[in-house]
Amino acid sequence: MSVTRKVRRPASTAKRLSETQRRTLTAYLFLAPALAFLAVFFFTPLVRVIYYSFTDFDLYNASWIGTSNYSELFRDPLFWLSVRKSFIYLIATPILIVLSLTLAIVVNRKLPGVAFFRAMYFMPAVISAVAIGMIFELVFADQGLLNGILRQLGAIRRPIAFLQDPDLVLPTIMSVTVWRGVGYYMVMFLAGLQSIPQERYEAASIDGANILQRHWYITVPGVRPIIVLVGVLSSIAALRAFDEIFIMTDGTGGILNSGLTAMFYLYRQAFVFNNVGYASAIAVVFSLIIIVFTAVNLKLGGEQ
Amino acid sequence: MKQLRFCLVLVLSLGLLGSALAQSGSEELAARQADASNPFWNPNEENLASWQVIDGVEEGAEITFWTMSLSPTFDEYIQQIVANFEATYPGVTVNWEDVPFDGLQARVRNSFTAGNPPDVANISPAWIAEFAEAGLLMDMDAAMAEYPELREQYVDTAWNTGAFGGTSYQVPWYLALSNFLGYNTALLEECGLTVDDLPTTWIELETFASTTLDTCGYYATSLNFGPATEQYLMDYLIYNDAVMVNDDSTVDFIEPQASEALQVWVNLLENDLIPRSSLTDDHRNMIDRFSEGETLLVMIAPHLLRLVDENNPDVYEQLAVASGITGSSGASRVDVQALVTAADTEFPNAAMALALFVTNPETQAEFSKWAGIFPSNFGAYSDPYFASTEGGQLPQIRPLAFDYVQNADNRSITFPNDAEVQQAVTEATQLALLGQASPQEALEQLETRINEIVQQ
Repeated sequence: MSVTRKVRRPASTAKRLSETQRRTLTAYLFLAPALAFLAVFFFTPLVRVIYYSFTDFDLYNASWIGTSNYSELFRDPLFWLSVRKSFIYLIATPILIVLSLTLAIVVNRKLPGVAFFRAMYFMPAVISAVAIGMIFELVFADQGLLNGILRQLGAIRRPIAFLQDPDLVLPTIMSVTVWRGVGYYMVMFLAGLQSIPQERYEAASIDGANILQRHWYITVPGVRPIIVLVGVLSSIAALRAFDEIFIMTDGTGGILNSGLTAMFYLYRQAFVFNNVGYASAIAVVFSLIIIVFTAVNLKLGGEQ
Repeated sequence: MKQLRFCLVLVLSLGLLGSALAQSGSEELAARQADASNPFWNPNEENLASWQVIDGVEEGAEITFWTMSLSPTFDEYIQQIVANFEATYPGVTVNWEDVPFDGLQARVRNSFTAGNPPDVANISPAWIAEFAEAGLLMDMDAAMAEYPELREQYVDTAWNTGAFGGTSYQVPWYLALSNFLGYNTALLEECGLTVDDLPTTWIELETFASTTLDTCGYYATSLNFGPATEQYLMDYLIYNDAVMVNDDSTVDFIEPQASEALQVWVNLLENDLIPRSSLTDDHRNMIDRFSEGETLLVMIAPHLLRLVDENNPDVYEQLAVASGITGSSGASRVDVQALVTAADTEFPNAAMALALFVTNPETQAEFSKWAGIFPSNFGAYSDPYFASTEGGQLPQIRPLAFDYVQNADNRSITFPNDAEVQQAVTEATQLALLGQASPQEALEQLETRINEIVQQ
């Protein structure tokens, strides 16, 4: 015996809304919580930051000052220095791509214990940036692990001032960013590698291609979308780098502003100097720079 | 940064308060609590009447009191303060909340921004300028004008610490004696030196550092030019009588004293008389290096000596304390914990009454018995505890405390846009220390930059 259940709808609603309208309404109702969340935590702050960038907001008071923050910003040598440092930080991106792809190729084999190595390589991605920063502060200290090893090997006589030499501060911190990110992006590449049919490698081997040729002509084109994705994500992450810099420079931005990236300069203006209006202008301009950079990045990635 | 310097000292000292308490043991505490003559734990009607010093305390007032990182170690102490206060001012209720140091500055900022600040809060004096500049704090000089006899009880230099525009916005709570010199007696002997050879000025330190490195291969000391630095250039110059501050907060460096003073630091670093990592070290690093036996000296507040004991009991066994290194002025300072009151509190009299109650002689004397800190209220020193050298906290230092506090001279300047000035000072220091500018050039640039910032 079959039971047919009729769904009763109020006659008036059924008359007012067509099927399409009902579906649309349902979709929006499902979207509503997420939209409300975005409105509160994304769109409203975004609009307020843009508004504050035209004020002298100092956390307590705000007056409209027009485009003064922007004109001051474009004349501020420290801002342009910080933008330059942020772009220098981008050197981490190709290093990350090469290292994480290489690691992915290495662990993409059926070897005993490979799962353990995959987990180990991924581990830095799940450790907090604060813990990583503190650990590497010890690694790079004058009596730290790295100087100790170099001294034991006889490579140096005096400790290298990784965090006291203005020329070394940024590269030192970038190396931590690379260490932290390489396992994370490795997992992405690993997923990409596993989608490449094994037959292609076998065919290439039969054709006499060596290992480098096989990876250059099969692996790299096969994971090109992942390379673009990793390139974009790691570039944005590099431009927004803050945690490692903050921890490893003890919140100072490095000796003689050697680690002063745009994000750190924004933080300093907003939360050390309380120049929230000016910091908002930095946020707006730097966001635009990141958007343009990402668009170019995607365009180039797509064309290739 | 100067702000961080105060905060670091605070964090270290608060961390030590816990260990100090643990060491003093609950028996001492229990004895004091059971002592019927102890006015703090067992106040009588006479005590309560003597503590009622503020007129017009609002009937039915409910006030919020934020302390900094005192819970859970000092819960009993603070709860007793609240009980005594509520008994002194019947009808007034205190809602006490302890806020960890790490989030306190942000939390105070947010509370002011949200229009819901605590009525009384314990903050670092270095934060006062920011809030005072925005008109958010009660002018304590004006508030205390009616009570000159109460105002006189406080150590003057502590009262004026963190003053902004010549006005004090805080009631000083507990103090730390900042300027002592710890030294490793075994290393001193190994270097063929005696206590009479210890440096008392920065100039002497340079010579001493050269001697120790040449004769026995030890660093005399490390310095800390990093965050939370004790070696804050502006203070250093001020205590070397090398800065003149004008009425409009602009500064003039007095030459050649200023350049000569900075040159001493440059010499120490350039000639490898201190570890190079001094450039980024903080005060904790200085203590750690001393604890590891790497250095002979540590510039230290006595209540922090326990850190050496925790790090390395062997070095602590060899530790002795002498007078601190001073600038040419010879002055020493005290570190201060400040109690501030919101300018627009609904209950200004109750809030001020609480700030004065927490800092009254009996309440502060009791706190000193729990931890190696000292009262900002001269009246507290009449407690026999401060004259005794038996038991309790810092027994060797305690009898010296009154004179130290009485003669302390806190000369640090709080500028308008103080954080920006501090950043400029840090950059000038680094320019000179790294040899990218001569001391004179760095100071000329700094003078120009400070005067630009304060006139913004």
